[in-house]
Amino acid sequence: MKISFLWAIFFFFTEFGLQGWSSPSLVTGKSLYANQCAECHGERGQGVEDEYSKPLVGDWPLEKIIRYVDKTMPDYDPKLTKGKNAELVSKFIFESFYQKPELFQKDSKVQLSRLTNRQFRQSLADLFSHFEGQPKIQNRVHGLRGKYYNAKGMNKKKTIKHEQIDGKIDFNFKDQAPIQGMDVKKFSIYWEGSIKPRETGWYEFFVQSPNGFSLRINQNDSLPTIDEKVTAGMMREVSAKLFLLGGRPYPLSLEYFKFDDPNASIELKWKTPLGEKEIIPKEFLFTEKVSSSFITQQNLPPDDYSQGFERGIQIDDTWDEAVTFAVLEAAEHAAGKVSRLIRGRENDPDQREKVVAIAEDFVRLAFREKLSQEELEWIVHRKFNPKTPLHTSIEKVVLFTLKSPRFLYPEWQALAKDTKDSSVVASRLALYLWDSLPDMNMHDLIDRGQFIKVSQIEDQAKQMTMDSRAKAKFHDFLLHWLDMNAEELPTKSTQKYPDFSPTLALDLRRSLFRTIEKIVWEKKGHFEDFLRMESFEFNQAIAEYYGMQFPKEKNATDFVSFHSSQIKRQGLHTHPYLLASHSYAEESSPIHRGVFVSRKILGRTLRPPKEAISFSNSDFNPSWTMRQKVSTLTKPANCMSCHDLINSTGFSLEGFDAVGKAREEMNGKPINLMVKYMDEEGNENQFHGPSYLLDQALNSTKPSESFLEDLFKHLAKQPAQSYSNIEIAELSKMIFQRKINLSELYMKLCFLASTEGFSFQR
Amino acid sequence: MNRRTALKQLGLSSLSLPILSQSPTLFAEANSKVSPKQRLVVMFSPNGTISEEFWPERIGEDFEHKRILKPLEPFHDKMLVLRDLHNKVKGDGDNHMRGMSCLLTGIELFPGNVMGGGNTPSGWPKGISIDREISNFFQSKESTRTRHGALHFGVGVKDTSDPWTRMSYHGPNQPVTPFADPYDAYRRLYGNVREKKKVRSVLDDLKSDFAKVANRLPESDRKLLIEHSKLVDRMENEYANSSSLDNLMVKPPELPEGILNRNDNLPQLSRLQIDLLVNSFINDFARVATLQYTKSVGQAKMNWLDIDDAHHTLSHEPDKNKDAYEKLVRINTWFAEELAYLLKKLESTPEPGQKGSMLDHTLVIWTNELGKGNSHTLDNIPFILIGNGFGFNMGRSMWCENSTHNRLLLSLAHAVGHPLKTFGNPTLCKRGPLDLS
Repeated sequence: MKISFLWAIFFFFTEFGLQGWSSPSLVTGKSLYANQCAECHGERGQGVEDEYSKPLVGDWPLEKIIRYVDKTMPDYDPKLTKGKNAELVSKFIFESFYQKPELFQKDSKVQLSRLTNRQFRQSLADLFSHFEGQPKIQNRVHGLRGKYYNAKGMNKKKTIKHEQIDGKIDFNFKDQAPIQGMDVKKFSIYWEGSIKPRETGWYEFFVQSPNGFSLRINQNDSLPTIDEKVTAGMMREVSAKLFLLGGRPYPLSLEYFKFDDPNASIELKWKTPLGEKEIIPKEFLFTEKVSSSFITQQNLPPDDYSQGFERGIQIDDTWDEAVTFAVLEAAEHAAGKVSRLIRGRENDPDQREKVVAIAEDFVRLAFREKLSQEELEWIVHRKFNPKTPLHTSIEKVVLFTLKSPRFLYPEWQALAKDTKDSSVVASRLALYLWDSLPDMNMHDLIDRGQFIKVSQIEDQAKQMTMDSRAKAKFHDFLLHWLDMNAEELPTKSTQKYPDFSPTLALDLRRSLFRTIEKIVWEKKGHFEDFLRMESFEFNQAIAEYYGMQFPKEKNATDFVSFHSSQIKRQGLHTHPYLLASHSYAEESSPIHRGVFVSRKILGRTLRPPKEAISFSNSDFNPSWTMRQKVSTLTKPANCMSCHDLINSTGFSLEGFDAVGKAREEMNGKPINLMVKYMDEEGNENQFHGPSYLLDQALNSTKPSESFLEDLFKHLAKQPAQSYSNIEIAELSKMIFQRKINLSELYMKLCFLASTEGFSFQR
Repeated sequence: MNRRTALKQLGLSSLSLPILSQSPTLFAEANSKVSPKQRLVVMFSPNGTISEEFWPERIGEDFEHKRILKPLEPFHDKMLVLRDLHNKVKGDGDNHMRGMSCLLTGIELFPGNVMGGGNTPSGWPKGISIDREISNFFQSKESTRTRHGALHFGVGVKDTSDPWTRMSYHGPNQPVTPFADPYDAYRRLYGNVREKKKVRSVLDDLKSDFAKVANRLPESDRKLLIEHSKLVDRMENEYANSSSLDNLMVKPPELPEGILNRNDNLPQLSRLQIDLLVNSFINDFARVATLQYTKSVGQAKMNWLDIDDAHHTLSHEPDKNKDAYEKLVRINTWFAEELAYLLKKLESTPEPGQKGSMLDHTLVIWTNELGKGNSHTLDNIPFILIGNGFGFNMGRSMWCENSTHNRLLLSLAHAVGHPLKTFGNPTLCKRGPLDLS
C-alpha cells in the first residue's frame, strides 16, 4: 500500500505537476532519458531484468554522474550523450530518483524464519547448560593444572610429588623424570583445565607419545575422547575429531603415565577449522575446569547467505533430516543424563516428580515462554506413562520439543502477538545478543514482573552484553565483516616469501582478533578507535618478521602491544593480516584492497562488475609496478565507474607488499602513493598513503552507517528497515560524535530491536 | 546422476543408507553358496570355573553333566568337552591378562605399560585372534563372504580398553571393541530403524503443534510453516515404510526400549544380544561371532541370583569357603543357562536354504581365561564345544594329553578348510591340530 501511494505522488508530479511549470531542462532530460536510457534502466529508473537490473540510486555527486554519462553512456554508443545532453539527463536522473532509494524499497517487516545453524547449535548448548551448568571461566589463568605423581604397581597415583601450571603440553623427558626427585621409571601426570577455541567448526585433537595416555575433551562422565592407555613403549600419534562452538570453554583432561618405557614424551596438538596443526597454544587453555556442554556433532547444510547475512528461510528435506538427527542426538544425551541422575532410585516417586519438573523446565526454556497447564499436560505429562522408564519419557519430551515449531521459529510469538509481552522481548534479546534463548534467570524476572521497565530490560541487556556468548557472536560478525569467512589462511609464494609460513599466517590472524577484542571489550573502544587501531598485538614471530624488536623479557608466544606509530601502521586497514589476505601469492592486489577499503573502511557503495575480468600477472610487462598493471587493466571507461574509487584506495596501500611489509619501491621503481580521491559529495582530494584513507573515514558518517547496517543484519538476521525504531542515521551520528562505544552500540541495537512494539511500564 | 540423487529417486534418503551401504550381498544370488554353511561362536565368561562342579569324570560318550554343565544336558550328543588342554603362552602380563588376550591369539603380549596383579607389565598381544583369522578367510572367498564377516557382542563389558577386556584382535596391537550396548549393535546391523520409530512416535503431536502455531500467525507469515509441515508429512510416509528391512530373511528382533547398559540389567542384555546374534546369522550378516560376558577380572554383582558379592572378588576365595564356592557354582551355572538359551535358539531355527538346524552349521565354544579363579592357573582352560558345524566327532568328552590350546585353535582353522601350519606362537603348535574327528 505504502509503495503504490508513493508512486502515485511521484507520477502526479512527474506527469502533470512538474512538467507544466518547472525548468525546461527537466523536460529535455526526461525525454533524453526515455529515448536513450530507459531501455536498460527502466522508465522510472527501477532497472530492467537482464539489462541493468538494479534501481538507479547511489551516492555519487551530480558532477560525477555527468562525467560518467558523458564518457560511458549509453554503453552501446557513448557518443550519443555528450556535453550538454549528458548534463541534462544526469540532472533528471539525480533529481527524479537517484537520491530517493525509498522509492524502490519493498515493503519490509520482520519475516518469520527458522533458527539459523548457529542459532540452533547455540540454543541447544545453552538449553542443556541450564541443567548441567553454564560453562564459565571466572579465573582467567592460562594453561593447564598439572599434577605429577610417582606410580607404584597398579597404582598410578601412589604419591603426589609436584603441582604446576603448564602453558602447553609439549614435553620430552627422554629417559629422565619430569621433575627432579621423581621416580624415573614409573610416574604419571594428570593435566586438567578447560579449552576455549575462538572459531566454530571441526577440531581435530592429536596426542603423540610413546607412553600411556587418555584424553577427555568436553566429556566429563563418558568415554574418553582418546583412550591409549595400553602401549608397548612405541611412539604413536592418535587423533579424534570434535565439532566445537567458538567462544565457549570446554573441560579438558589428559592422563599420562610412564611405566618402565625407555623414553617419555608427550605432545597435545590440534588442527583448528583453519587447518593448521600445532601444539595447542596457551591462550586457548585455562586452569579452571568448567562443566561440559552438549554440542551436536551433526553436520547441518549451510544457511541462505544471498543477502550477505545468514537467514533461516530455507526449509527442505536435507535440512529437516539433519536437524532430526541432531535432535535425536540431543534426546539420547538427555536420556543418558537423566538415567545417571536417578540411578538406583528409578522407582522412587520423588525421582519421578523431579524428572517431570526437569522436563517442564526444558520445555519452558526451549519454547521461550511459560506454558499453560493445558499445554504442559499434552506436551509433558502425557509422555510420562507409569510403565515407561523415566529416561525414555524424557527422550520423547526432548524429541518433540526440539522438533516443534515453537523451538525452531524463535520469533513466532513476536509475529503472533499483537501486543508484545516480556517473553517476546526476552527471547529476542537472547536471540539478537547471543543467537540463543533466554536463560532461567530471565524467566524468573518475567515471573516476578521485573522485566517491564526500561531500566530493568536495559540492565539485563547490559549484563548479557558482557557475557562471552555476546563476544562470540560479535566475533562471528567480524568474520563476515572482515571477509574472513572462508576457512583458509592466506598463502604466499614460497620462492618470494619463504618465511611466510602457515603458522605465521595463523599468528597474524590471532593478532588481528586479539587487537580488535582488546579495543572493543577491554578498552571499551569506539568505532573510531576500531578504525584507527592505535596499537597492534604482536607475538615474537610477527614482530621479528615485520622487523620490530620484541621485548626480551616477554615469552615468545605472548602477544605484546606495539604502538601504531612505532610500527608505521595507520589504521585497521594496515594490519598485516588484512593486507596479506587482500593480496596475491606473489604480489599485492590493489583491487582487493581497494574494494575492501572502499566498502568497509569508507562505507562506500560498489556495484558488482558488469563483466568479470580477472587479473593475470603474466599479461603484463614484468618490470611494471602493480599500479601500472592495474591502471592499464581497468582503463576502459565502463570499468572506471567503480575503479576510480577502487584504484585510488587500493593504490594508497601500495606501500605494503603481498605479505603486508612496508616497501618503498617495486621492481626498482619508487612506489607512487599519490592518488586523486573523489568523496561521495564529489570533492576531489589528493591522497598520499593510508593515513589519508583513515582521515577520510573518520571525517564522515558514511563508514559508521554501513557498519551499522551490516552489524544489525548480522545480529537480527533481518534488515534494519524492518524495525521502526532503528534509526541508522541518528545512531551513526552518535557513533561519529563518540557518544556510544562499540559494545554499547551492540547492546543498544539489540535492545532497540528487541523492544520494538513493547510498551514499557513507567 | 550422483549417488545421492540416485538414492533419492529410489525413495531412500540418508536415513536408510547404513543398511544399503553395508549390504553387498543383499541382492547376490542365493544359490551360489552350495557347500554347507559353517559358523563359529566364541562365548566367554570370566574368572575361572569350579573344577569339581564342571569337569566330567568320565572320558568318552557317556560323560556326566555335573551341576555347572547341567543346563547343557539336552545338547549332550552335540557336545565335545576337551580336558587337559592348557594355555601355555608365557611372557609378560599377569595370568588374567594372558588368559584373556592370549586365549584366542595363542601368542605372547608385547612388553608394555599395563601393570597387573603380578608378573611384568604388558601391552597388547603380538598377533591376530582365531575368530578374526577365520572371518578373514571366509571374507576372502566369494562363497562365504558376508556383509560384516564377524560380529562381536558384549554383555556388561565396561568402557575400558586394556588386555583384560579384549579377546579379539585384528592383528598385533589391534584390539577389537565389542558392542556392549544392544542398541548400538542394532543400529550397526539394521540402520536407523529404531530412531525412525522414535521420531514417528512424536509426529502426531508435531502435526497438531504445527497447526496450532500456524493458526496463531497472521496469514502472510504462514508460508514457511506450511512448507515445513509438509516435511513432517513426508517424514511420516517415509519413516512408516521401513523398506530397508524388506530384503531381509527375517525382521530384526523387537527391542524393548530403554534397557540401560548396567549391571542389574545383565540378564535382559544377555538375551537381547543373543537374539541379535542369532538374527544376524539367519540374515547371514556374519559367519563368526563372539559373545563376551563382562571381562577378565569382571566384577558383575549377580543380584538376580541373590548374590551381592562381586564375581572376581568371590573367585579369589579359597575352596573351603563354602558360601563363595556355592555362589561361584551358581554364577557359572547361570552362564551355562545363557549358553543353553543360545543353543536352543540355534537348534530350533532351520538353516535357511540348507538342511538341518542352524546348530548343525554352527560350532559354539564356551571358554574362560582361567582354569580356576583362586589359583589363577592357565592350565585346564574350560573349552566346551557344541554344534555340528565344524564336522568334529561330537557327543563325548576327550582327554587332550597335556596339549597347548594353540592346537585347538589350529584345528578350528583346519575345520573350515584353512590348513594353517601354525597359529600364534609356532613353538606351541607342535604336534599340529588336535585330532577331533
